[in-house]
Amino acid sequence: MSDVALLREPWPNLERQRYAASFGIWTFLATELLFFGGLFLSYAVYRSLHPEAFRVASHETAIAYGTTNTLILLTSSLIMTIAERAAVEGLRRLTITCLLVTAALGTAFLVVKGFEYAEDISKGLLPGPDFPLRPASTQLFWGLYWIMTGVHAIHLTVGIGVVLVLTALISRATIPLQTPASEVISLYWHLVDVIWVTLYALLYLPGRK
Amino acid sequence: MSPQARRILAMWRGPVFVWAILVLLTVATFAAADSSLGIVTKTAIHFAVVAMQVVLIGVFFMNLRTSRPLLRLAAVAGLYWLAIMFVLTFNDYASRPSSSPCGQPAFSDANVGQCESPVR
Repeated sequence: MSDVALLREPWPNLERQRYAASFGIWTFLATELLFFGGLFLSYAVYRSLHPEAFRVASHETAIAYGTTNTLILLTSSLIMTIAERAAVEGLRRLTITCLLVTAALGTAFLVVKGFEYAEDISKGLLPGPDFPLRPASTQLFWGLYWIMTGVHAIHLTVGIGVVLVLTALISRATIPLQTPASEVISLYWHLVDVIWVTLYALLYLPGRK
Repeated sequence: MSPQARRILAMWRGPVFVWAILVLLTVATFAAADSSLGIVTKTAIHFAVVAMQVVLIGVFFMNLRTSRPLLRLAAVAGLYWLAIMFVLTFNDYASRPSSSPCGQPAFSDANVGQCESPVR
């Protein structure tokens, strides 16, 4: 497909359009980082005030699920990178296949997370009057656990949605294969991965042995 | 091997190498968590691994290696503001006088049931 088909108002040329799209998504990602940064900061402050409670609380997280999900998401980032590069190279079938695999891996992450949430709920790890862990400040950790993993799961769900929409639009040839949207969505997906590897270290690892 | 197959193979090689390092780092940080190392050493390893993973994903998967300077600046801007937020907040918490007779920071676990809640 020609560059003319890709070009949109108000950009004078395709290079400028790609540059603007990249700058726009990087700016958005910076705001996302600050959004999660507030939660990371809350975690850091409370952990510095209640180190032992955070160790006790973290010991109760299901590390097998957490590690599995880390590997799933890292693999999805690899496949998304290939999808983006295949799109640039004009390899239509490989691009569509990789986008679908990426969405499938994202869905697998959510399924594993669902099993993990079910286990956490069955252990009564929802902050409230009957919370099973002591000291009481372990609830701070679990409050942050639910908020941080929940918000991350919402971001991932949005990511799966936009990947599927992009796949549909490309496969129906509604938008050209080399659309700047591929890079934009890819960058968003990688940010979701970056947030998760950070959450893995904060939530699952401190309370081991 | 056809030129296209060679092109596809070359496309996979770099990202797979980076992915393998990311997985190895995950295994390493998991192993460190399960080891008998001290808590400070373990925490340092976890944060170092996260930093390396974030850099690898940013530089290779998010294309910062080949990006223009303005995009790199936009990427670093978020981290810069995050650093300001952390430094200012911890300046506050670290410089608050310990107002409990236990000598512990306000609201720490050591104060529960032993110390008066300080007025903040």
